[in-house]
Amino acid sequence: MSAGDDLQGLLQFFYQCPVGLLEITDGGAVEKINPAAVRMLAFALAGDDLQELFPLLDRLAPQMLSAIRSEPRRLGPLGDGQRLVVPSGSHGDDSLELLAVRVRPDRVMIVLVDVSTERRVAQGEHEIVVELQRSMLGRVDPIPGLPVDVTYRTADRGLQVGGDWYDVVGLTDQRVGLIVGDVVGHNLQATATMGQLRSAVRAVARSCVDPARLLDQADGFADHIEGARYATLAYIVFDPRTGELAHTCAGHPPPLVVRHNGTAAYLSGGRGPPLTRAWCPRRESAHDRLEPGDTLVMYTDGLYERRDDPADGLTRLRDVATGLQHLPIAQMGQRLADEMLAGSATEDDVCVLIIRHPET
Amino acid sequence: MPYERPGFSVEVDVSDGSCQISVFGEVDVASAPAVGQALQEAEVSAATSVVLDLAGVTFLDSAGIRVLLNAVLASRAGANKLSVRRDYQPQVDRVLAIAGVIEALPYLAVRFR
Repeated sequence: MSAGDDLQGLLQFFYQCPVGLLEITDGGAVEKINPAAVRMLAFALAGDDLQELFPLLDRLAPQMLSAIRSEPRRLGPLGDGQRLVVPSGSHGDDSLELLAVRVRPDRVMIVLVDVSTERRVAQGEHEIVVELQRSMLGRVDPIPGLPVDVTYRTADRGLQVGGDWYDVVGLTDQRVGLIVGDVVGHNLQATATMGQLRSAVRAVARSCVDPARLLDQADGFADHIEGARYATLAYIVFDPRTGELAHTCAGHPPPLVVRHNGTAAYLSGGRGPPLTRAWCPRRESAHDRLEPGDTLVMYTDGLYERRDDPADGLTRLRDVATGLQHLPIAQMGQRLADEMLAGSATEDDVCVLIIRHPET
Repeated sequence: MPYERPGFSVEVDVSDGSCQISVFGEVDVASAPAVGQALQEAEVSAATSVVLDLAGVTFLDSAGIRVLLNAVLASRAGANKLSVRRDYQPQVDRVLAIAGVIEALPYLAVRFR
């Protein structure tokens, strides 16, 4: 086989290759371009023929243009070999991946791959996971005359999955069950476990008006649902007619009551260890009362737990919530999450459930 | 391979058949397994008593608490030889109180220092 045959073969490859290939000089003049590249760049040409690449690159991927200009002579991938993904074409989600490689001291090869399909599939999968999680996170039964707000933030991770959940359950006697819980872990397994535990707890909550007796049952669920042991849970039964509430926590931080007069305190009593029957603990409920205009805040530990903040996170939470109690609860939930999470990466999921005893 | 992180260590002292495990630094999801392993090894060792010293712990999260709870349950189910020194730092006390586990921990009756 002669060198000429080799060259013929390479040229065949160049022109038939489904990957877009385009060779330019250091000045941006297009030396060689294959049909795949012409097809992929057609959307950006606006009737011009493709002789100078730089104006187009300047619009499409300015970082790449500066990498070509600032890294002369050195052979190999430019811009640290970073692949740029840019939107392409009329469909909003069409996208093109670009890589620049210096193949000769005065020549750069631009490699183009159409990644629209992959990105659409990935986006679709992501939406399914988010939707699935959303459907498992919790449910708010409509309670006549009782405003309820739930704010949920997911940790800064690629895939939005976690183990926090909430539930607002209309009980058989017009009272309402309020639940915020947290299952160990941050992955699909944790989400699946959370979904099972949540359904089981919700199912028995409807007819269970003593929170401590609900936790007894939840202790049993936690031992029989894979991964649910040591889940934490705060449960409150609230009577919108009288403002009375009964509360209990299994390993969970205490709910906060912000009074209409601007004072605030955590609910005390009714506390016990995380869910499992192994302690044989005697779960206990404690009692309190909301006056009209008082606000009850339930939450998960992601809201206040900060490694870099040696000050007591719960003190901060109480102060921030007190400063926001004049707001309607939907805004209060958002602002509480914003202010508590400001300035630090969200390491954990956060769930905040707020009710306000209506003024009569 | 032991877990390594600046400021974090687990020291195990065995003398006269009793074992003291001293933990230093931050106990979180990354470092908690090292504490768990030391507790587990002590549980199955020949030591007749195991004392957990958390005075050097500067941060404890829910993963650390789970390791503690596992050790307590294993001890209860076994020879009941684990006890915990209560002279840990205020932030650790706060975390344990919030988690509602203080009642569940087997504290050492003897006062130290």
